[in-house]
Amino acid sequence: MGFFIHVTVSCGLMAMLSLGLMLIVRSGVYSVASAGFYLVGAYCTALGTLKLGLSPGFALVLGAVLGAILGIFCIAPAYRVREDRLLILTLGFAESLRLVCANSRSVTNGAMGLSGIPHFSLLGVNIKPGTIAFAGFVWLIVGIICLLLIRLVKSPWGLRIDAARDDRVAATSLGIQVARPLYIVHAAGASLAAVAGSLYAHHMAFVSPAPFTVVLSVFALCALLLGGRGSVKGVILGAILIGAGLPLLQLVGTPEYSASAIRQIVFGVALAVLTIWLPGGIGGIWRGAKSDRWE
Amino acid sequence: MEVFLKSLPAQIANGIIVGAIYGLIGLSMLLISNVMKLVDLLRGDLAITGAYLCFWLSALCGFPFAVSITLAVPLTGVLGLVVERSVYRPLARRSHYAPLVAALGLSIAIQGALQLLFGPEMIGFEQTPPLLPKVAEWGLIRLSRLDVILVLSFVLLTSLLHYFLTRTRLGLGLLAVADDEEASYSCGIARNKVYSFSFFVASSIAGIVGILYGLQYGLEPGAGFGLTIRAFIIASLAGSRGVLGAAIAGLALGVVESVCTGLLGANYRDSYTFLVLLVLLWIWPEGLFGRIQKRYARI
Repeated sequence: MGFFIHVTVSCGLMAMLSLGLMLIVRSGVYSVASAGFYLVGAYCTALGTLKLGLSPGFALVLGAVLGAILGIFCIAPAYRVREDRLLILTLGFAESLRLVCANSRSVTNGAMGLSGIPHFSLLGVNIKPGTIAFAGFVWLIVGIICLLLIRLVKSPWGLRIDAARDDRVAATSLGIQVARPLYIVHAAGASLAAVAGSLYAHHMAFVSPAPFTVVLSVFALCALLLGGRGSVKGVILGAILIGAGLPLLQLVGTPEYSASAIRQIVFGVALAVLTIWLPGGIGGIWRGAKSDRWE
Repeated sequence: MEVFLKSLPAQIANGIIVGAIYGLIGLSMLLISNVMKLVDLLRGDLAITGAYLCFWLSALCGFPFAVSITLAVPLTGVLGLVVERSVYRPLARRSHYAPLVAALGLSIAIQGALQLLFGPEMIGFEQTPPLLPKVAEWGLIRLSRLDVILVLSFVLLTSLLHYFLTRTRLGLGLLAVADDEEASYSCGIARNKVYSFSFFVASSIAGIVGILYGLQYGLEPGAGFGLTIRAFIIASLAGSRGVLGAAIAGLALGVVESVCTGLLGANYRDSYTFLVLLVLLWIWPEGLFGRIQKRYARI
């Protein structure tokens, strides 16, 4: 039962990460900084509750706000830099955040990590990690995000984002502001990742810099592309496949490192194969669209 | 501060040695990014794979060291060729992102495979050729034979590549494709052959870099990532300025990193590199020596 809840929660967290990424990718920028914002949320919760004595709900909101600010900072050079260079910039940004946490030993306890993070509570209700209530809470947030995203895609605001992505010059000539939606979308995506990180910290009750490497961002990207970057249903399905696949693959390998190595091989190759042969993802199959056009 | 100033010459010498490695991997990246117009995120991983191949041949299969180097370098080249044919060629025309995303996946897959085959901990080459004894010492600067070999092979490879690109027919064809693909195609240059060839040469260079890196610092599966980032920085610094630009950029990056490490400590070493990258992309989005290509209207 404990394992089942663990899998459910990690699917939910992966869904949050990849939905945030979906928002960012919709604006035309591929980012591999998700792990960085995930780390920001996790450390905000850990440090806020342990060192500053904040309430868990407040620490979560604080993490989301900080994630949003860092997200804007990360994407600020977007219009000056070519797309492929921007991807490497986001990669470097996330990795720098991790290095800062790994090396400021006096604050974050370095690679040893912080343990004993208190239970999550909201408005006085204590939601204990490892129970069905916690898993339900995580999926409740995922559900709300999904509803908002589905609304967003059809809204005028969503159409504006699409227009700015497809042809920046034409969009500007029609009087659509191009830069501001990009920043807002990126801030929202980053703060979603931070919320997921915060819940992760409560779920594990322990935070160390080790899991927040590029590999995690690649898993999130893999979930997004597996499901198809344009469809919310597809992304949720992709996140469930990856979120359940990771803990299940851990059961396969006996020594710890071979399990993580097998994961990297399986999902790394899957990502490459997906981009080459199935750019529309699973969502693309049931729409009957094989190309990587947007919905 | 006084200690730092005293050790400054040694830091700079160290930086030049590191910079030789960076310069070579940067050259390898530059060849690809100028010819195929894409960033190859597998550069560092290919280099490390080449080094592991050499390690496997020499330490585990019992070949003499010289033989395993001569086998491992072209094999890395062939590996690069396979990647080009299977991943980059079908994806290069689709979008800017597709090849990057696929390469990112393959990169972590390669790291996982190396981890599975050779274990996650750092391994060193057995020093069969006596490389480590120091040959020169001035104050705090100590040079081993390996350091000298490293800098010499940097100079040699750079000048060879420069000669090849500017004086031979094949090299000129490569430059022509880098400069204007359509025009070179209409002049009868076989584009795909040039792609394959540049990938083979660049990956062979990467193999040499990996072996040198492994001899100097030891090998671990994740080491390729740092090399890729540095190769990217150097290639974008050099822009279209070519081989000499990349060589200078590599040395400069090595010295900056080494001096910063001396000044501020080794913990944030990779962060300095990213900081250089961030500043670079803010100030010169198209590279230090690059041509300004107007892709977007400025908004």
